[in-house]
Amino acid sequence: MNRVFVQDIRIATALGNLEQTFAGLLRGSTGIGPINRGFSGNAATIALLEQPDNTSCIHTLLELVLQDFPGLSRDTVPFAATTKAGVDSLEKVMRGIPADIQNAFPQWLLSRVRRRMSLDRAGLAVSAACASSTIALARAAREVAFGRAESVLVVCADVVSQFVYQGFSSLQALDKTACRPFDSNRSGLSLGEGAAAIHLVSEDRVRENTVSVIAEISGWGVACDAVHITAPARDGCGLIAALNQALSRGGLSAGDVGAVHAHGTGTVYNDAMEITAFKSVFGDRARPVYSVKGALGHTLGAAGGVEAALSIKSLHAGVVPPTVGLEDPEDAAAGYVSSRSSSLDRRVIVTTNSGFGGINAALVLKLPEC
Amino acid sequence: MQAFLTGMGWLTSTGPGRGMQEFASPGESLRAPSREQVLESPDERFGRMDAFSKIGLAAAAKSLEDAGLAGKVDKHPAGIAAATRFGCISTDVDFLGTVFDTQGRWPSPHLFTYTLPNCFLGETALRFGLTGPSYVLHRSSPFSLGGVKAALYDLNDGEAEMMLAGSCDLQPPGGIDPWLDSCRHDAAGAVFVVLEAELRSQSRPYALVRLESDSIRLGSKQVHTMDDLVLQCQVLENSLSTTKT
Repeated sequence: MNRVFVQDIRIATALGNLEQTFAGLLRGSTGIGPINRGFSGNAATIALLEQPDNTSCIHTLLELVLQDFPGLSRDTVPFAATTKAGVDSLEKVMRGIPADIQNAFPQWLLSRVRRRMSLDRAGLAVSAACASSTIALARAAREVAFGRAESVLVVCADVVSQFVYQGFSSLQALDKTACRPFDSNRSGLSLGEGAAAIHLVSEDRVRENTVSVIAEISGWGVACDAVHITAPARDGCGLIAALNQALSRGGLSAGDVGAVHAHGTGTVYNDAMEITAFKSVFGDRARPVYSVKGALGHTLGAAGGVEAALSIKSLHAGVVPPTVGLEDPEDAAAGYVSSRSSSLDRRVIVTTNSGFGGINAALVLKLPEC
Repeated sequence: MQAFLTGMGWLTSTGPGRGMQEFASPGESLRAPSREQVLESPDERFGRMDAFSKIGLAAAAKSLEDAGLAGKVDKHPAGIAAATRFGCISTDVDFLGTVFDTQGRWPSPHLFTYTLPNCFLGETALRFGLTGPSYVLHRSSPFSLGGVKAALYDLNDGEAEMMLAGSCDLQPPGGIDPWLDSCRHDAAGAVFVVLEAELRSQSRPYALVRLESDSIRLGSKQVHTMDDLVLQCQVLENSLSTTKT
């Protein structure tokens, strides 16, 4: 298999771009606050997206990650990942406000990326709930690893809409203020919006173009619980399988991993499932486990891409951010999670996401020289 | 890149079917199936599913049944790749209706659960013990072979030993948008096939499916859509039977 390198990344979150978001996380800042978008509640929204016209917020969100993205070769394969794309357009149409309903379909996101970046190849629009972009990244990495592509661009995005907010509210899955991942008093998730653009290249392309790369995706795994549609498997079976696949493909053992960037939604069952799975795979050696959702909210289909990008920042900084919102770690997570940033003793981070339908995905990220 | 096609199932305007049963090409008029048409045993969740999930699960279940995997609940590393054009847009519209009709006070949690197009993959996975990768690919045309192509890559790359692959599309809801209205006469239905990297001892394939230059081929023949794939497999199977007799 060919090695898979990350050449460029951009993100947009409630805390800003990649540099701003990472710095904000290290400070313990949060982007979660009152929503100013025609419905009330709390979420991690991006002020620039609040526009009262007939376009979807996702247009602006995409521009935030693509506007200064370096030009790509035309043979770059585009991947798009999202749960609901521009579903706010559907809301507008149903209210009688003129809007392009095609924005609400993920294939629109893919075609927009293709046009915006002038790419020739068709690409894929992937949807797998909250693991959408993790699975898209795994799939994109395989295109490079198996020699089917030299260059791949993964773009993921999801916005905070009334549709999604009131949906999670109806499930009573939202924390009333801000989510507290892995906290003993956690009571639900907070929504967020965000996007990421991640450019993967082959070793040959790196050599030909003498470009510098910032990370390597060395392993990936995807597995389904096959237990329940909305609830995670209590024993973490799907996540354990995904983690073991990812480590095995990366030729790594559990002891090689410096930190785990968890899904960490702040819901009772998700966080408990994750800690169960991490202990099963990594044993009792305490290593940093952290979640950024207490600061950025749950960005749904974009979560995996945003979190992979932040993991790469951590690899370079040698430090992982605190779990914002964490005050009193639940017993099972004590010694793993922290409300302070933690140093990385090994420059390998595993990042994981899980979603409705029982799907789980994991990526192994490391510095290219490792 | 190739795999053995060992099962075929569908739900079209004439109802569910599998294998060598008469395949009615997808039409406009599509009805969600009853539980009895899809699953042998009582299933309390089936009645609560949205139409998109029922249709997708029906075709998936029929293809597994055709491959001799009906009722298999031992977990095994098989995945699901589904292509769709409109996904669960009808459920999205129904859910938003509950938001707007109640001024946001009582949106339906039940409907919201099915506003992700991959939900029926989870419904299929838990009933048949499929623990491999599962995901939806969004395409701009109905009955796309995108799921089959992706599944062949999954098998080739060692992501799964078996893949359920196909497409699922409902007619989009009418009366809310002119573009959606213009698509309401496009064919709707679900078609799934079982693809295996290596044959199980008991399984007998309909065909060897190959991916060459981004085209799906059965022997020397190129197929273009999921319904075309099923029909061509039936032609192949019939010609083999005729030759044997």
